Amino acid sequence: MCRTGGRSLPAGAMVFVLALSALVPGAARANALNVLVWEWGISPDVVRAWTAMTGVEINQIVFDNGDRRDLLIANPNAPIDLAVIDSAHVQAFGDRGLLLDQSGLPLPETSRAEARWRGMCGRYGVPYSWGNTGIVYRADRLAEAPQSWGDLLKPAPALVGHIAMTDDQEELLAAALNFMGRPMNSGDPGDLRRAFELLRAQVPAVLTYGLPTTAQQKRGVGGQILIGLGGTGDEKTLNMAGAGKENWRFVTPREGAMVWVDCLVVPKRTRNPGLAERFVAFLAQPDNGATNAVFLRQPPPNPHAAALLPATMRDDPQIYPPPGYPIIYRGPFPTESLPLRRRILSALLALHDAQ
Amino acid sequence: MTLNRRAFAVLFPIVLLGHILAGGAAYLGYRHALIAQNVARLQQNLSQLQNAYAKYASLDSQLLYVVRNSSAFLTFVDESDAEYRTRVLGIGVQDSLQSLVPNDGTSVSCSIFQSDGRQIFYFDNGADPFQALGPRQAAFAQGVLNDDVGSRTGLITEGDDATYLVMAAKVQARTGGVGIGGPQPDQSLVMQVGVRPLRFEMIRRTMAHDYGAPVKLVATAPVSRGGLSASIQLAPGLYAQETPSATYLRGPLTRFAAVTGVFVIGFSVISVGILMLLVRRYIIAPVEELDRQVTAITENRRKDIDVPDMGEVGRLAANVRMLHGQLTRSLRQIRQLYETDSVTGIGNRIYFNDRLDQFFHLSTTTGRPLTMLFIDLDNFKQVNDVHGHRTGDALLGAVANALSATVRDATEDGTEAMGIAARLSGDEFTALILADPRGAVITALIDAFLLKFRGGFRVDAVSYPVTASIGVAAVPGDADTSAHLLWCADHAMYHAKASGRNRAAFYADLPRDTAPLGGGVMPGQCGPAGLPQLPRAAGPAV
Repeated sequence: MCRTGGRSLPAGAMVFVLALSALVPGAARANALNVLVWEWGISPDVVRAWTAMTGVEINQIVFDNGDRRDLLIANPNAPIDLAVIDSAHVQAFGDRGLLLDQSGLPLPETSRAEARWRGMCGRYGVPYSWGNTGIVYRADRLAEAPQSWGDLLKPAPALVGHIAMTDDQEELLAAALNFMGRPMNSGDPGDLRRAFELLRAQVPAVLTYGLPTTAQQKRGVGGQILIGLGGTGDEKTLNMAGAGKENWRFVTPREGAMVWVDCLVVPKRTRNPGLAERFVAFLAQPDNGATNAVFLRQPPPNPHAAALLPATMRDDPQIYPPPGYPIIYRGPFPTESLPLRRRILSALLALHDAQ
Repeated sequence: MTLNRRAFAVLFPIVLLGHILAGGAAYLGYRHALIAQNVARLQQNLSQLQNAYAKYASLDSQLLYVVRNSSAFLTFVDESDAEYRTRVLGIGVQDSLQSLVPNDGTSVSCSIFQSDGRQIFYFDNGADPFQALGPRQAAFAQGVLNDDVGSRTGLITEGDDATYLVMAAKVQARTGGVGIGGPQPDQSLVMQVGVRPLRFEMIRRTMAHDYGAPVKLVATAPVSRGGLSASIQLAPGLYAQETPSATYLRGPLTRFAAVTGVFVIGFSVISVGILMLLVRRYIIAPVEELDRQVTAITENRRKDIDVPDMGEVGRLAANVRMLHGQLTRSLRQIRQLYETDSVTGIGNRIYFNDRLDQFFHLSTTTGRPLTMLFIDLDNFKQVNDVHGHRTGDALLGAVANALSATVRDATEDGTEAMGIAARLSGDEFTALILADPRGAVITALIDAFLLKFRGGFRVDAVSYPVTASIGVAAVPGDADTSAHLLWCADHAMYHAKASGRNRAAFYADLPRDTAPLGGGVMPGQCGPAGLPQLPRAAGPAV
């Protein structure tokens, strides 16, 4: 799951964005594709190359919350031709019959992702980018770089009031569960209760619940964030506002790298499935994959694309998890635990609003 | 019992009773006003309760209506794939609900029940994510699902004493339309919204605490029975009734009764005090004054009674004064008769004895000399024998008058001398004068008196051949007791007779050998104190 620059929009606002996008001329034209993606989720160079080659414009519909993104995909009235979805969510849409089967997509060998990513995306998705969850922090303000989830979840007094946590229940609980040594997708109510207690104790120290990349854009909040929960590549988005200063850094906590992979999916309701799948194939090309990876500062799932990356990037522990760290692959969350997980997030927001 | 006590015994019970009646009336009035005031306050509290209820009921209704008509809800209920519905669509219903909940801490829940009674959605915005829908709320929703109703609202209190205002409505599956009334388990599902009516509960708790009795929620309109109780309709078929505990008004009523009691006693004391002052001033004091004056008269400390110028007491004083005057005059007359010689009209022996003691005491205490003249008529028996007793008595009266006039003349000319005259018996008279025996007063008196016998004593132009022999004794010098003084004067009188009559003899001038037998009395001193006195109790000579 990519966190490269999201915008905090409630569901209603998302629909509003959709309605606006439906009104723009490009969206109405047959030679345009509506792509649901994280903000700054595609390299502008790649988009320009595609449009130059095909004449088809790309309309990006952005999101910053997995649950709300899923609602848009489920909404039959949302004009989406292509979407970037966390692999853990693909199967449910595929099984519901909302996605085109991509298993037969004729991709050349050089465009194919590693088997582990293809396995995670399944038959309805094509691997797009991967990364892991971790901590973003201000290297110029913290005397020592954080090393553990504990540095975020049980912060030092100096960090109280300077923390941005995500409002995505999956990632929020994943961090707490990982810190507790429990499976990040645990559905055990006991695990979730302890994770809730941990996060509740952290509430007084939290400045805002939202992705650091989103919260930084809020007036009165941005300059106060010193540390937050983020993902691979988030430090790039955060540093984009730093006037050339690379103050933000990303670190994978020593408890392990919780690895996600984003997949490209094509809703069945797309008006132009051929064009959408053509764009998928375009993005899967090694050169485009490498360009995208450099822009996103995330590892590409395609080994041929990875081979094209500069050595500094391949050796950067901000991009690839440090060797020797446990790798935990993200999988589907138990369905029956989702209402409780959502209520945990709601309770944390209520507690934070009340303080 | 004194008049004061009588007045107090009469006034205090009447005044106290009057104040108790007034206090009782004030208490009843206060109680009535207190109840009326508290009923008004109770109605005000119940109105607040009603407003709070209406606010939460309105929120319930709004949430139910808006969420039920949202596309997220319609999509959710239209979805038959339970797993997909939960994974993907549930968050839409949650967002619809949360977008409507006021950001003031209001606790809201939403639940959806399938036609088979299974709960397929639950969310609340509280701070405890592990709290499930309470069993009584779930039963309420099941009731709507199975009963012949389209929707129902109710206040439900769960086992943990948390109260919820819930509104449940049947919804047609697939279409999301308004549910058909009546049990249609195959087609309808139930959507239920619950709100924690915290303000409503707070008002209810505060009222229960303040009034000492819980606010009852009843289905039918309570019948007013008067007294401190009030009710209000919260919703059709739901009434709130508050009847404060019996002890609620006890505090203020007890305080008022205590204060009233203190005032009743205080006013009674003050009123009785004022009344007693007035009664004392206008009734008791004059009577007491009259009593004091009468007492002073009986103790010889006062002579007369002042008559106040007021009504009955004045008349009583006047009557007492009149009685006292009559009594005094009677006593004076009796005394005068008792001390007057009936033949001569001057003082008798009783009068003389009394004055002798008086003058002797005065002389010994003041040092003024006291002179006594003992007078015996010479030849008086012959007058009686020749002229008869009537003439003798007339002669005795004339001599007495002459003696009295002589004494008066001698003592009234500014000499400060005092004197009296009396008849002792027969032809014996005496005179007592507070004056020196050798002084001019006594000398002039003796000369003037003897002069009246020169050439015979004349009575009614008839001269009688009587003279007077006078014995003179005095203190200090001659005697040291009154009886002794009398004896000395008597003794000197005998010397005067023996010396030729019609003269005066001073006891102090008597020769030593003239002392009576067995005497041994020295000149200037009367004989033995043991000599017999003149009989004092003997009546005047006739």
